[in-house]
Amino acid sequence: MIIIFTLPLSSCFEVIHELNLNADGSGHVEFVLNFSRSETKIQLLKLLDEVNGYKIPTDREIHEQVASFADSARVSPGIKNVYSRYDERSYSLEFKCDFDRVERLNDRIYSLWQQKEPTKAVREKYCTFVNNELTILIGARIMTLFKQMKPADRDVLIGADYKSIMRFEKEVLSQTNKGSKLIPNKKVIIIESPILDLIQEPYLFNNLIKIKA
Amino acid sequence: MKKLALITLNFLFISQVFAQNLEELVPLSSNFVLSVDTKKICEKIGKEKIYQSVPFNTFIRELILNKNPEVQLKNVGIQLDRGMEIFYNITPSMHYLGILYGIEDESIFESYINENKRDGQLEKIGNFKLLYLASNDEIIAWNKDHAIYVKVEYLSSDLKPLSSKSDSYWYRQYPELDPKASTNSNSYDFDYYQQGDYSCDEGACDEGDYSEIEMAYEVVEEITEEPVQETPESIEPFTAEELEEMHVKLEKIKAEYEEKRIERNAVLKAAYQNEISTYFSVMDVNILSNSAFTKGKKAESDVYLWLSKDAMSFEYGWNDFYYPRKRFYRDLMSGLNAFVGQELSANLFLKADKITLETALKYNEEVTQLYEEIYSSKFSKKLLKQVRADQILWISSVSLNSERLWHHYPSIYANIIESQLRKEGDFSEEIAVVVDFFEIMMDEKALGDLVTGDMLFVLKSFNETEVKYTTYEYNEDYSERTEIEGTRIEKLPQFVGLFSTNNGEYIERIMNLAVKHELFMRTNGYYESNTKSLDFPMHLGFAVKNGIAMMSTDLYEIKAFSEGKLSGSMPKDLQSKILKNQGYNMINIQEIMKAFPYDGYEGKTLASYEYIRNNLRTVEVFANFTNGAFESSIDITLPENQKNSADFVWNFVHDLVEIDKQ
Repeated sequence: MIIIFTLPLSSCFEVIHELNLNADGSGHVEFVLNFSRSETKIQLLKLLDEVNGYKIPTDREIHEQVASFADSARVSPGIKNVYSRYDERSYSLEFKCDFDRVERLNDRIYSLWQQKEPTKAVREKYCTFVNNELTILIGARIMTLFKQMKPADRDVLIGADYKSIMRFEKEVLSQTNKGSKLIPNKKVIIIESPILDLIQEPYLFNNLIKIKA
Repeated sequence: MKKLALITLNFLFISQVFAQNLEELVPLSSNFVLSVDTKKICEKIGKEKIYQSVPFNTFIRELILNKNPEVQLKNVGIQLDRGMEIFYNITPSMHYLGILYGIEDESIFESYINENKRDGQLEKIGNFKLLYLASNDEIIAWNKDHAIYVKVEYLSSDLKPLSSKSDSYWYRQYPELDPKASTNSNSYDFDYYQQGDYSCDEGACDEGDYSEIEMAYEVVEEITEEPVQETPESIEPFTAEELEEMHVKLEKIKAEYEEKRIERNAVLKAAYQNEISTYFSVMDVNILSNSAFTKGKKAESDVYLWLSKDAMSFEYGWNDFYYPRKRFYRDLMSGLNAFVGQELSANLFLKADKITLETALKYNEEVTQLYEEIYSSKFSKKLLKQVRADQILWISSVSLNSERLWHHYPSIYANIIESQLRKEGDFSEEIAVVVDFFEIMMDEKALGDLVTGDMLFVLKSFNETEVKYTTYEYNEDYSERTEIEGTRIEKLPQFVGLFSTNNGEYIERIMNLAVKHELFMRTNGYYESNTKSLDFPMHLGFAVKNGIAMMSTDLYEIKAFSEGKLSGSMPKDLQSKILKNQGYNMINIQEIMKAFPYDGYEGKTLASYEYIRNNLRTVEVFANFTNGAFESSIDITLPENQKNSADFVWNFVHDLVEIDKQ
């Protein structure tokens, strides 16, 4: 019965990524994964043990995973003020922290990847900030992850939205991402799009942003 | 001239009269038979339509070696409307899957095989010809009447592969041992052994070659036991003496391997020929001598499946290092046991107005008696009087004697667990302790009173309901994110579920516990779910009245039920189906699919979904335990204006393939 009710396994969820970058390269990052729009489906899925071969975690297991993720960030060099939260009523996850330089985020991704796939993990430069230029190169990696997903799992991304907010202390002089918009004060760049649209044009995840010195 | 014509006609007549019934060639020792009446199917679909089918031609090409898209089934000499027998035969020396089919024109078939035999070896033996395929475990044999394809899955110990890890037969050549010594390296390059033909797919390769390569590699390693040098500049090349010593060792391994291989191949080849020859001589005893097989088969069926759990399947090679990879059939059979069933017969009828699948699962005497006790009940009419059924998307009913079920449950459970753990070892003693514990602790009478065994579930509709969710919004300069509440419309299922009980008071006590924990609230004689604390998307009502417990998403229905004012409106024919069967299910697939618009899907996914929705109607399942067997019948209704169900299935599959190509 539950399987019939959950036939369309596409989920409506949103991913929010906020980055506040200071002139010296330090800053603050926030990630929000909000499944609230899929509350009904999640409640039904929670009645199952597994879907598509994946075990459905309990709220307690999610809390533990989120806490473990935050703890590993706390002991990472250059990362501080770590905060994480899982709201089991709205099914949303939140993680935020401060960093002394943006490249610390590359270290975190490498560290997490290494825990999961020690032999495959590669240290890559997803974000760099040099001479007032912020480079973001995550499109290729996201595309690789998407290709690794089973076709049935990809359906989960139908209806999912992505939002990226990047805030800077000084004005942005130029940026290369045609899918993003610079708000009138010229200090905030926004990308808002369905995830699948971005995956079809993965370079829209990337950007080269020049900031006024 | 007339004489010649007469002789020819006579010959043709005789060959038709004596064309072998393929079923008569299926060995008695087979414990899985899938018999496809291709003659009936061809008549229903049309031979030309089948010949022109691209997917079917692709499938046949895969089956008979060729991947050339130019090759059409029409031109390979196979007699399409002769029938097809797929079976699994178990003999003391080998286990194999066999596929028997008719030959229309031997010369065309043979020339086709000759063109496509790749590195297979063709031989003429007596009145048939035989092609050993290079994969070493596949054989095709034929004469002017019929052909058989054999895929060997297990060989007995006297025919066992050379390596304990592998199933190496005879055709795969030992790799050329030509290590290319380099003056700049301290090791041989063996990588090329694992390229090309030597890379293997799961379950389809000769690992024997690999194991021999590993041995050869060990020889090299023995020689190169010197400490590893860290810089390339400091690496010393092999001396001429060392190289010579390695060659000698490798040649010795190669010679020993060849000797063993030739010896074993001769034995194996003889065993294969001996086995295959039985399909080209008269089989006095065949599967038709098995009354269980013949009794299960209905003359009108288009496809007949019969399988019987045979202890022999498990006697040989169960724990062999190599064979587990190839024993998919035995894994399938291991799912059967005394309680799941020991013998299955299934008849598929592709009728004019519907598809019907009739199955019968048989058990041993002890289990039959036990199931007869469990399924001795009759569905209670009083449940049907409590169901308003103006619209039904899915209805499911079951009637059993739950007290007898709980009584036998520990032994059933133990048997199932024991069969699942058989591969791991003997856990019968541990399981017996658990069974004793259950039998002491379990009060089957009390459990049987709580839920007596009549259950009914009705999915009525999917109603649009406004649901709230959390999202975020930003201020004008995007400096601040605020959490806000949004609303959306979702389709939620509206259903009712009922079961009979002899202990309503105890159920009330359980519900009071739910009230205490604030999962439910008590309101005017019924219980209502507390949506804030119960992690369930639908608002539920629950009540117990006159030996019936009801749960519904319709609170008015629950209220009327608790006040004794509910009057049922179930159609008479549906009531009759529920009352006459111990299990009944009706699913309106089309209406259920209509409830899900599949927002966000596009392209071929959406097209496939819409096609399925437009072309499926209802499925009905009837289940009963009668005549010592668990019998079920599944009816799939066709859309209007279909030629017949065989043609419908054919078009359905082909249309979906076409959509997938877009």
